[in-house]
Amino acid sequence: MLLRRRYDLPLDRDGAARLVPWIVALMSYLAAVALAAGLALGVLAWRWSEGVSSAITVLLPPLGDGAAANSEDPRIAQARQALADLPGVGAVQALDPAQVARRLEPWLGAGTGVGELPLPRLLIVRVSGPRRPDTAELRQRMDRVAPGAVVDDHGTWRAEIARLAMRIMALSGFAVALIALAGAAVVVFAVRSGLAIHRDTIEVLHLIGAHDDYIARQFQNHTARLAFAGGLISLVLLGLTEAFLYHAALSLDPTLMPRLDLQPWQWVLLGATPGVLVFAGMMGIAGATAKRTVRRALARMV
Amino acid sequence: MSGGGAFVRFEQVGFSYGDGPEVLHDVSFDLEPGTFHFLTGPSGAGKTSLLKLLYLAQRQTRGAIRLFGRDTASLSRLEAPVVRRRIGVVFQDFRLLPHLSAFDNVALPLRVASVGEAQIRQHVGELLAWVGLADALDARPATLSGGEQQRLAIARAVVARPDLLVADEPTGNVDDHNAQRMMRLFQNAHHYGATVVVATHNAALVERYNYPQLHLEAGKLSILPAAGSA
Repeated sequence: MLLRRRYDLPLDRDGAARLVPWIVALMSYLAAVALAAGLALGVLAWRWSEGVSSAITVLLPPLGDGAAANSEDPRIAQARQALADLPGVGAVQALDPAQVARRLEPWLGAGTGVGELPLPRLLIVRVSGPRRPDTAELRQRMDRVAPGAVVDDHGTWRAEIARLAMRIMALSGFAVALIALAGAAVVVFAVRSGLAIHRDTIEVLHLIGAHDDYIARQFQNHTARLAFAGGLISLVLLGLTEAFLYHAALSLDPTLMPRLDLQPWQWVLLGATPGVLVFAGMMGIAGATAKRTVRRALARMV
Repeated sequence: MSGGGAFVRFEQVGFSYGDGPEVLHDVSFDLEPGTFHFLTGPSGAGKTSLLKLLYLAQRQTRGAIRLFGRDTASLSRLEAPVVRRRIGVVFQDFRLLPHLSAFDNVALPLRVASVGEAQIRQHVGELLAWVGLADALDARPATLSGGEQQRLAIARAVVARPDLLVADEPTGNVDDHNAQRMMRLFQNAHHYGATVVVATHNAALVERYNYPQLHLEAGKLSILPAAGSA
């Protein structure tokens, strides 16, 4: 019914109206991409934050001269023992120097002799249970085992990530709001142009007894129909973009960038949610803007 | 038909377009329900302006107009369309909608009044047959002759059975045969109960049909009774 409808006004013939589906498609696509990017980055930040908050990193300074890098470090066992009865502490994983070197490779490059450097020993302390370990206590115990040990509970990271996620989401919302405003402006322009073109016909409709709402509804339905067509185009574009991003995401190096590990259905949901939201939003904005614009203009006519 | 109050009453009505000179001065008259009047006068006398006031296309600049017992100055935007639906208008230039078929043009007053499609099909079909356009349901106005367009405009004006039928120079551009045919359509509408006002400067037509005249000269109105009446 929305796609095929009889209009008393020849709105289909308006030049300006013909552009509306394409402009709406572009705007909807941009808005959906902004929203999806905001959502994806939000999810990513949340996962990242969850990841870092589930562990505490302890750096034991390198042993002094003469100690072989790959020899057994007695401080590891002492640290395990010191942490054993600390509430909130789960498994303690000690990375050997080779593992630490591998973690540094993406930044320092392979074959640069990272393994020859005096590297600190890295302990990853898993957080267990609902209560996080007392970081101050943990720091004291590690200091006793290895003076100068660095304990990082990633608190700063977590706060930064949360702040970043909030800013990204807010920015994405702001972008969507701007795009919606631009979409509304396009509709206002197209509707005003239609009103000017069909002024005589509108006057005839008025004179034979049409209410403002009768005329405004025709513009509203017509504009919503154009927005619907634009929305469909944007959904197709969005699907193609997601397919591209899905494959691009699979090839990301997880040591450099946190991966957005989503199931295919989650990818669909990630694209469909903003797509459908923007689609419905654009239809609503277009229809309501058209109706309001027409009613305001008609109020100045006979 | 009219309810309480005057059916149509103009009281000391003056009218001007914007800041221009006044084209109607102190026009006063009453129309009783079921009457037929010619609106006569030379070109530029103000006939079209008076009709525009009558079918609410313009608002008077002074004086008072009452239609069907309502003061038109107090009509809201919601009320005005309801009053307009009681008025059928045959415009001087027909003002048919070129993109719509003959059927849809005639159906328009019923559609704006939210009449059901089944009823519309029946009424419009009858109306088009009445004006001799039964075979032109799907024709666009541009494909019709001048006389056919005029009859189509009359069909549109009367399809909603208006209480007041107003025609602005309907016989201006047609031959005598078509002019008489049109007058018979107006007379039919009159017999069905409509109050009719036909603006014309065709003296022969006025003489032949012998209805009272609202006569305008330079914006001033006088009422001329039908010949033979008291």
